[in-house]
Amino acid sequence: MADIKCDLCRNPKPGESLTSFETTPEERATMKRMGETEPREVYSYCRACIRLLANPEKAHNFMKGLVEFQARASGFDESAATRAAGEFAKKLKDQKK
Amino acid sequence: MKLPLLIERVVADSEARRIEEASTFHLRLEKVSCVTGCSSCCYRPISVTILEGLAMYRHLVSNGKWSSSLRERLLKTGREQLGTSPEMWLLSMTPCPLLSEGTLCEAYETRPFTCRIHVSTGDPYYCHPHHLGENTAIVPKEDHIGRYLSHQSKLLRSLGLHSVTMPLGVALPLAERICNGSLQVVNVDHELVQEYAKHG
Repeated sequence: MADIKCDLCRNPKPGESLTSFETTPEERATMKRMGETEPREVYSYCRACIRLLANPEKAHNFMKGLVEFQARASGFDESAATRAAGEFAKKLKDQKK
Repeated sequence: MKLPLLIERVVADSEARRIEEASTFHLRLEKVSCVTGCSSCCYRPISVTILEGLAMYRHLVSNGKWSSSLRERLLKTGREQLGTSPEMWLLSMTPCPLLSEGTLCEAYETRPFTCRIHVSTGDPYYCHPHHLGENTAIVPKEDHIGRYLSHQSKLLRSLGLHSVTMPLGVALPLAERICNGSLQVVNVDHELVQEYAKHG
């Protein structure tokens, strides 16, 4: 099987080593509401990314960092981006409780 | 913990070059903003050669810093690092297994080459893994790394090895096995391939 890019880290990995997840219509509708223009029916992730995100603490840090980067890329100044990421991270933690 | 003479000489050569290349790098620095206890850079994926691993392992053992809990932390982190992209690693804020609770390096005197030459001259805020970007003031070091790895590659080929770097958490446990006689240096490549196949 040819190499396929992981939908998270975008690194090419042997196709058989990726795990694919099918999205439901409800999930695709939610993704559209959140801004994804064309949500796909199947997403594939590599073992390393699944392992990393299966760790709650690392997944939490990852999401927080991603929000901060996205905020800065969208034009937020640094302190606003850090604050936004902090609030998002707190919301995630509160939801988990 | 004596290794065959050829390997002892190669490790000594590697150590001498590691220190020399790092010293050359530091000599050209005018201003450094790094301070004890910062640890922002201790969330990068750290890779070393097996030669560095051997030197670090022996230093840790002779200073009473090697333990089964450290070995377990190294193995866990090393296996997680295999196949994980550097961007994912940084964003997830996975600490180096040698970072102590008090944000100090447990192997500072024998730290990897990549750590010795990772230096910032600007605001430490921009060294945090979530704040890296155009304002980061980490001193460029590609030429030093290139020369160092080229030298390492020659030394490794003299031992019949092809792989150059591997995660720190893979290298130190392998070094332990080499030093206790349960692994031959010439089989390190094979072991690394096995680790990647299992965990990468």
